[in-house]
Amino acid sequence: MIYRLPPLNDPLDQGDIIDACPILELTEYDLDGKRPLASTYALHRILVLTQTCDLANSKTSVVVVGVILDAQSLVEQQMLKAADIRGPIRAGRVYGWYFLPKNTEFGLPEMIVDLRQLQTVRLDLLTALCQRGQRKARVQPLFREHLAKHFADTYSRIGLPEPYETEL
Amino acid sequence: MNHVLTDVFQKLNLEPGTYHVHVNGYDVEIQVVKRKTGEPIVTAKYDEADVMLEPWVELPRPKPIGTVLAYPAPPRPPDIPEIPSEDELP
Repeated sequence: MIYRLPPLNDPLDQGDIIDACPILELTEYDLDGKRPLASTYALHRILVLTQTCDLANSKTSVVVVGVILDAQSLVEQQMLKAADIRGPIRAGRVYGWYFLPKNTEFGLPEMIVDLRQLQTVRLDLLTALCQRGQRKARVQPLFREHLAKHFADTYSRIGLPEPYETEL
Repeated sequence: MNHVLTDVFQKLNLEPGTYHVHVNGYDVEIQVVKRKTGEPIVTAKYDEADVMLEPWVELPRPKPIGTVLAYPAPPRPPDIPEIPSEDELP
């Protein structure tokens, strides 16, 4: 079982999938600080990435989340090919993208967590969204750890400017 | 010396195993093993499915549904982790 739906009052946990989370993006700024900043906001499905231990011990008041995108819609927009989703993305071979499978019971389509679109959201806001029933499911252990490892790999990898030379 | 030994050994019908002889106050041990046939070196299998890839496109950002204005405010205080006191350290 990849997903489970926790009770409404269950505390937030890593792997929680939450709908309609406000995501802000700065659009206008005044470097001199004389005018207020303008931000746009969108309501988006997100996945909680902060480690369970930090959430369980109330060590944080803010939560790192990744934006979830609908895989089919990315294919329709011709941003990704279905074969790429079926192949390397589903196999976890693309840094920064994590595939999540469809689940009809929880109304979840095939999805891609974009680990390059990270946001920091207040814990109390996410808790309130969960209590309102906007938590769709929770990615279960093993799958959740697999995702967390992919997240860690994305940001811990070190790329060389070019491969080492060889005379062989 | 090696040539001499080779000549001598070629005249003998040696079988795989170990021979011990005493010559001029020395213990001589001759180990006979079958010569390995030269097997070609096999290159490691290169499986493309094991190679990690870099994303080749930037995925779309969420579509905005509104605009908000933000005014200056002091930054949020950080979440201070529990720091063990000195007597709690190992």
